[in-house]
Amino acid sequence: MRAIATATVLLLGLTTGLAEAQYMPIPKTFQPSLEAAKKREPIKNPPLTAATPVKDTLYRIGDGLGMLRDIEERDTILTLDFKATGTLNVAGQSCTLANFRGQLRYSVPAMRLDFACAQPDGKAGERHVQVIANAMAWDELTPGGAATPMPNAVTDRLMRLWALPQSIYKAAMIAGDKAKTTLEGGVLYLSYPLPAPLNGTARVALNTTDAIQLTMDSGEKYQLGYWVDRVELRVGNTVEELTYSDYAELNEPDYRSEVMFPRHIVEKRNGMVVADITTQRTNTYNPYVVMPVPANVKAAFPASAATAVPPAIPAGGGGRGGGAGPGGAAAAARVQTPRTADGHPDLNGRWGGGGGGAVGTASIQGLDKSGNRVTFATLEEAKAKATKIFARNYTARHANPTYSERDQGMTDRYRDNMNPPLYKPEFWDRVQYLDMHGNYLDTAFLCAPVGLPRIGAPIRIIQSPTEVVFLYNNRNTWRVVPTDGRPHGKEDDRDQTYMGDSVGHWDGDTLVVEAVGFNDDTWLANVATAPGWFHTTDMRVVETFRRDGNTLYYGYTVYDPDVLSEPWVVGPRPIQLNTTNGPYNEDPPCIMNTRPMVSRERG
Amino acid sequence: MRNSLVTFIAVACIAAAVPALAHHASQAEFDKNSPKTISGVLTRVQWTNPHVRWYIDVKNEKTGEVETWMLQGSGPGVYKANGVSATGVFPIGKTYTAMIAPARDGSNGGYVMTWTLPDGTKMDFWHDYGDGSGEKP
Repeated sequence: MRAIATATVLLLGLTTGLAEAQYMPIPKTFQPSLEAAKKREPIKNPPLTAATPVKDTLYRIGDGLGMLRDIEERDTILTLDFKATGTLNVAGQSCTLANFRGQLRYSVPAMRLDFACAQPDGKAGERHVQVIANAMAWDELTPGGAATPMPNAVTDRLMRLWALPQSIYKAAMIAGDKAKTTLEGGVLYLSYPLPAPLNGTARVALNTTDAIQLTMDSGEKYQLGYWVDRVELRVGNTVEELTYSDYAELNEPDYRSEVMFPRHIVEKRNGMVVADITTQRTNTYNPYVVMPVPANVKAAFPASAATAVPPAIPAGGGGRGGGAGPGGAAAAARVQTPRTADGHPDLNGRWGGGGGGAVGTASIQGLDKSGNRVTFATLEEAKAKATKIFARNYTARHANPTYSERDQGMTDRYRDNMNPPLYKPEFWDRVQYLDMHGNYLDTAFLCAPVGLPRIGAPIRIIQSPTEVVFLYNNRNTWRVVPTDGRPHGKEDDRDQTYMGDSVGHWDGDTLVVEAVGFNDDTWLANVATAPGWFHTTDMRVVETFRRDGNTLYYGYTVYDPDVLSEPWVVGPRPIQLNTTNGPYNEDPPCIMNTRPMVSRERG
Repeated sequence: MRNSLVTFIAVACIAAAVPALAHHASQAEFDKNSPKTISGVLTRVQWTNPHVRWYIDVKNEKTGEVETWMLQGSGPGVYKANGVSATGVFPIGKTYTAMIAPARDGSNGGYVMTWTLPDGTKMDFWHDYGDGSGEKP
């Protein structure tokens, strides 16, 4: 009887609950985003008299487009999503678009174009979904749906991918020393070979005279410019030419990221106009965009097609805090792993934080005794030697509080979306939506517990032969995990909780903890930000704890087959044994802010 | 001692940014570009997540009335990690001066950028102002 009731509830949950939950109404109280600059005005610069060096040219292009974020000004564009209207040439026929959506994921790199022509009655006709991921091309019935390999489309689609303004910066960075700038008739041109495996060239005409001048609150003036006016890509006998104009921030007005995109795009192929589109809306906040390669597509291409194209993101990650945490694996190898009397690795102890290296590991800038700005390796060194310490490096633009928060939003999503859970295609838009409305829909903002696995690794482990106790500072949370071989509590007896019902066992020297019985109030997270990664009550989390010397390797895998198309694997990441003897402080309670959220921006 | 300790809070906020919770954009709520200074008697410290809150009785010069202001800062963990505690640094009943980013909704509230403690010590909680030194204005 009880089982039937549960089944009915589950069924209802799946049919109605989820459908309703997909787009919860958001109060219309959010205000348009703040203007980061005090003043923003178009200006005309005189024509150049000499070619700008390549490095400076690329900096100006990337900066103008809003790609270079944070004080380090690293390329922080991982994904893009844009919607447009206009006309497109499909199989030799020009059509008026009923809808058009472009998505890019530069880590692959990959692009999906999803569009339909308007029929005579104005309704959308046949849907076209064209994907390129690295050197594999395929068509989909719907995004993420049934796929047909399109080996003959690889070159054309890669040319389109590399022709977008953000792609141009990235492709020229990949070209390195082979990129050149020239001044011809007062116009600055940037030329470079296209990334492999395309055997071709790109030649970009830049508009260096029109600029947007920002006046910052400090009074300093700052220019955005070096717009990509036109790019000509040549591969074999194909000449692809794209013309861009009217660059603007086209994100939703309460979700600005300061990334510019051309409002008008005209594409010519061998002299024929094949596309003339007007961008209506972008999401440049590194949104949830994925292009998983279907099995039948993978089978249709040689294995080398998955890695033939270089990733179009900076080497070594990018995005603030993108590191894997304190290293030390080499040092750990020299320390014997302590064991308990029963022979298992001894996990007892305080892990991470404090002496574990969280605070003070960032490079610190300051003034030395002669007044020179220097970088100190550690906070300790800065404390000892600096006469003055800068919290951050300074640039007029990125030190601005509004810019700075948008930089943080960009870098957070960059880092998180490098390894996102792969949701089933029908949930892709929902994840984007939840992320965009995270201020309102992420229950952690309402002071609810963050739950497993977002809470991360425990700060203290207490181990006995029959159980392991995990202590977390976050909300003073604890878990008692039996390791005596007992199964999970009966489903009918247990509540749906934030941390789940956990049992553990030893797999060799690795402690494996499996948790089930969750509520669906929380979101998953890589580190902290949880960009809309929801889960169901059927989620199962399997964590692994392995001690090597004085390093604990903590990783987890999330199984949620109702919404994830494959398990989500995170880590393992190293956490150092913390040998400090300081007190364990109570985490003060979370008391909700009395002032409502005023915008959708997070940072 | 306090002086040296306090400058580093801003640094720690950055270094510790990774394990912190996600944040809404505080610049949308508080105007960090238009700081103002208020003085008054500290009546209560609320050492809670997600933000520490201070309540200060400030005399309104126009009306002569005493008004309660609610000021907020970072999470308690950040202060704790830098040795700043509620009872150690913020005894109540004394007069404090705060440079704040005022709440944009016009209420008696703000985000504390700099504290001047009763003994005259300055504590800088803000790190992105002007030349990035955290000491302006």
